[in-house]
Amino acid sequence: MDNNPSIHVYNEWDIVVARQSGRDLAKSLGFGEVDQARITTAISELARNIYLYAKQGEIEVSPVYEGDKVGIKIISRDNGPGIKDVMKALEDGYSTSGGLGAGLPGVKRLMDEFSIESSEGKGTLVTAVKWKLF
Amino acid sequence: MAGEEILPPIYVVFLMFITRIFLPENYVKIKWEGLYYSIYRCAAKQTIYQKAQFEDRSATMFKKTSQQFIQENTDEIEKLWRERRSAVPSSHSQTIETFINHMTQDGFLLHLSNFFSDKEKEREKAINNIEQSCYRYVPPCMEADIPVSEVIQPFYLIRDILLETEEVKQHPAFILPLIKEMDRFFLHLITFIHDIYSISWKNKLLAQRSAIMELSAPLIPLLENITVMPIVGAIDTDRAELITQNLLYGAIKNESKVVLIDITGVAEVNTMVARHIVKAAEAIHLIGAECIVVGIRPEIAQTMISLGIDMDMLTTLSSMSQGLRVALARTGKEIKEIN
Amino acid sequence: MRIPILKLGNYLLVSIQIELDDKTAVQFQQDLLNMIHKTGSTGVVIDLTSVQMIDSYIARVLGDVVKMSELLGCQVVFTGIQPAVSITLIDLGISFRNIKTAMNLEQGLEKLKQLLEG
Repeated sequence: MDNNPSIHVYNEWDIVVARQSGRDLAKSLGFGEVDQARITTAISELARNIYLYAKQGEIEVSPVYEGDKVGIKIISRDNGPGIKDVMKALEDGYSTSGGLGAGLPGVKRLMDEFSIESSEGKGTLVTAVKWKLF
Repeated sequence: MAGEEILPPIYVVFLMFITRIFLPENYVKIKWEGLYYSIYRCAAKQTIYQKAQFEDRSATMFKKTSQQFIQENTDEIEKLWRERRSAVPSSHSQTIETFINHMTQDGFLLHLSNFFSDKEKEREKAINNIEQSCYRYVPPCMEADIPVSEVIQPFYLIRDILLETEEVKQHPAFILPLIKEMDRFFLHLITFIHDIYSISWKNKLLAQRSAIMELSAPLIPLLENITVMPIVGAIDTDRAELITQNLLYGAIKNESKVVLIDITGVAEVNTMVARHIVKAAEAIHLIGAECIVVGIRPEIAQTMISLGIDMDMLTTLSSMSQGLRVALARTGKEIKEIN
Repeated sequence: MRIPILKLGNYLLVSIQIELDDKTAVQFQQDLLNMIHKTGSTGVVIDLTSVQMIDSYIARVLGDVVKMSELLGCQVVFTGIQPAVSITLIDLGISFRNIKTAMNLEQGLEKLKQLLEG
């Protein structure tokens, strides 16, 4: 298996490619069906954010180990316009694309760990981790 | 490497003499100090080098001697060990004695002696063999409820035995390296035994945890299309997750149209618990079934309303019998009394 | 790629057998509305048994399909949503409270009948 392949996102199809690679990795690490869906969906949301706002960027999905815990880390990186108010973007119901407003707060709920760095004009970096239950 | 820079002292003295004759006074004075310095440096280097060489030689010797000594005196050491063990009172002596006997039969002392080998492969093999014996014989001690400290204790006796031998007394230089090596060995052994204990405890804990989880939220296919899940105990996020998944997969398996969740046995219904229940109910709706929550006590109703939890899409009832009646009605059935 | 839409009496039947991507979802919305308009169907069952993931975008498209169909006088029932998909949607904060659901195609058609014929 390729080590931490990062997927370049610049069209709608790359969203599908990114989430499929996430699902494959989650499956190979032994994540349950529900967590596989959570990880895949989180990747889909992040990849779509890149596609919609930054036009292009990359998604990196890799396994993480901590003690005897196993998890999956998703990194989403772009050099797009960034987010003006990160706190606000994490509030439910806030979305600039007119979706259901699930975007970032949704990803935060789907994953166990979530962090975001963004500044206007400089792009956005989102890191999220999901740990396997026992 | 260090030896290359060493000038033979005679040559140095000769050089000093020559320079003194042929060079003007002032120049010589300056040069003189530099020469002294380089002689000093050479001498210092030589001492360190020789010392290191000596230590290295003695370490090899010590290792070889220890390995040989243990191998040649295995029977004697075993005998002494047994005597010392019987002198230490223990409430589990029988099981521990069996454990140690198994370990010695597996060649514990031979492996210990090979730990002193200067061949890396042999050392690794020794460690590996001891780990294998531990895997085999530590678990019975665990099952006999023997504290890990008592399992480890007999091994300390060996160290004392080895340190008190005539051989060591004759070579005081061996004491420090022997203690050092023995400590390395025992640290490894003790850590390993501890690991076996802690892993088994952890597994037991996890097994019990999942047993409790299953017991405290069983899924009961009550009637055709009706499934009941009574929840007992406290609900945290992990448990809520498991309960929800069980509910959803179970409802699909039983082709349930109605799922009754009984929260009579849930000790405390706070905001978090209420949210989990609402989320579970919403998830049940999505898979195509209906959720009825029963066992709502007055204080739970008060909590939910004062916390502003939106229960719109939930059918909630106070008792199981009411819930069952509603569930039957939704699936086109009813309870009829027969005189 | 296009999702086939079948006609069954007064009802339409859609079984989504592929992983939905954005374009397919939008195309499907278009096709279904056209079909409802053309056939005058009063009910649609959309079976999602094979769908393993629905993100907020696809959820919005599907939610819109329901509202638009209702504007055309057609009821929509979703069937076969998988537990994993259901839990993920709830985590995303999409509860689809006003959407009709059933466990499988058969129950879905039954539900439509109940809704439309009482």
